[in-house]
Amino acid sequence: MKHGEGACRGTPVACPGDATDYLIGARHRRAPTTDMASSHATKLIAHIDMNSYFASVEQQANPFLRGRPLGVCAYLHPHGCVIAASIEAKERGMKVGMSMNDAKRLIPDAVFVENEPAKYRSTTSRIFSIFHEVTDCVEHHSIDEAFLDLTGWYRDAAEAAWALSRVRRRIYEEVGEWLRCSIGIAPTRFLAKLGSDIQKPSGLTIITPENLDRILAGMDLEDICGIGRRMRRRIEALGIRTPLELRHAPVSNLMHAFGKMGYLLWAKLNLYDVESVVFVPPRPKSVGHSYCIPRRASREGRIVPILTKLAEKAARRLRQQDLFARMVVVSIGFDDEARGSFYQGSDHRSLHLEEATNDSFTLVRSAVRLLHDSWDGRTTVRFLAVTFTAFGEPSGQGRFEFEDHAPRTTYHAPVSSRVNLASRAIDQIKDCHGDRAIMLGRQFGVTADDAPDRIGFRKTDGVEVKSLNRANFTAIDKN
Amino acid sequence: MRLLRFFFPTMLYEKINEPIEVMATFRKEGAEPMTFKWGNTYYQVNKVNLVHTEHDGREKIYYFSVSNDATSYRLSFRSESLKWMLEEMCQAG
Repeated sequence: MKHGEGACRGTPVACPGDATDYLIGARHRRAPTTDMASSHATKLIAHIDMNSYFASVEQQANPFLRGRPLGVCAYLHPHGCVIAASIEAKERGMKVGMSMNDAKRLIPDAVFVENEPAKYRSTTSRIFSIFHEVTDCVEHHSIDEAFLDLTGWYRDAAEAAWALSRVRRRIYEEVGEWLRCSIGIAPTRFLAKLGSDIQKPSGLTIITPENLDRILAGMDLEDICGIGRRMRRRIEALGIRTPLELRHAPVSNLMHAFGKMGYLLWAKLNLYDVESVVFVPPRPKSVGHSYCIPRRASREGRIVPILTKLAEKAARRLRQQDLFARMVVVSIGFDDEARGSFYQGSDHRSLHLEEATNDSFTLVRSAVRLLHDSWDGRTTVRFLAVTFTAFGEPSGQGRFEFEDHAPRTTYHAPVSSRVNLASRAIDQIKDCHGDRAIMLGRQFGVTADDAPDRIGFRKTDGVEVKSLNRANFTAIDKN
Repeated sequence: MRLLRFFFPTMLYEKINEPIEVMATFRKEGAEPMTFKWGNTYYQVNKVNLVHTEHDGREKIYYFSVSNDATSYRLSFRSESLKWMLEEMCQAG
């Protein structure tokens, strides 16, 4: 098998004889077909998962890392965590979440690099731009995964497989030859993701109603998304040992044992389309940032500046998304030096604001107040998180501003509007001159290494896609 | 600023951050550095392995991860100042 080419599993794929590329710029979408005789809509969903993504990007950038066991860490520190491992490292037992020390002991010749979020985001932008040329409905599921709704764009799964093989070739040629992906194609989102997990790296699996039983027969219960060790024990207590048995189990039994979740699990395994590909991401329920603080930062008195940086970053994101928060939550983890280990004390404080806001001054002041409510200023702090939630709209009501002690001879705008204007001015300065161009006074003393840029779980902020003009996509009736 | 980005005993990694002179080619696929001069030495670029971008305010920075037979380099080009820098290099052990 050539590098970059994947075996096509599931229904045998007869690739079309002609080598005609799919049309770009004048795409015509066929009307989707629906089998009215059954309740299964004949959708065509694909899931594309980049294999060992962060490590593969590092190996793409530096060819001397290719073929070596590689761990990508958040911090190059003996207790730093491995957040991604290369395919070679995974084969030798390196797992995400291992400490660098443990990984080095397991694989003495492993290489470790510090992660670079901007590089991964930029590479993802290029890859996802290729996806957006295939269909107008792409869900950016995470930094290295996407769902594509191909319904109506391709005649059947075989044609879709051929098109996605071309996409894989384009990633290889246009972005990097070391970047590999696994693809799953199925009538539902859930089964498409299941399909992409079957063969890694560089797999291509098509799941159809005809071959679903055969595929499920070869899988384990914990291979199913949503089933972990605890859920497995509960399912096995019902006498169900395999995903195939789960598919054919009476739905009433599953609902009796697990409620709504039992129904959803049964429906997903039986080709019911219970979740669509989401093109527009839903509004978040909260926005926040967290950071594991090195002991040195705590000793050097940088806790308040670090909290300020975290709160200001989150406040800026609120303004970018036009969200206003009514609640501020601060979580603090303390060091238990007596135990000689990092013990996270679960101290959480929250503050309900009188008015929904997104200005940095109010939010930072509230966060710092919550910190002082639970921290004596001496105990070593090892973890900080700030979250803004309970989104709403400002009431717009006039208020007496008791903090405004301006003399009566001159009109001064209320404090709330001044801090809003100041926050937006700070945003404009940062947009123009960079994040380090201006900072709040409380942030003084923070270093560039404190609370650095990170890619959150399933976050695709900062991924920018160059897509075709949507006017080029026209829908025509298949008949 | 990252002080240590890399851990491998037999690979020499060095952060440089110095201005360089570059000869680049403008192909239909995009621009690529071909040769660069650092100090008094010319370095040939055999392959451009990855190109990625970052923003620093409104300035866009293009990073070219390039290599020759023995060393990989990261070069950067800033869109506002139009300057090239040698960011870092890694010599295979």
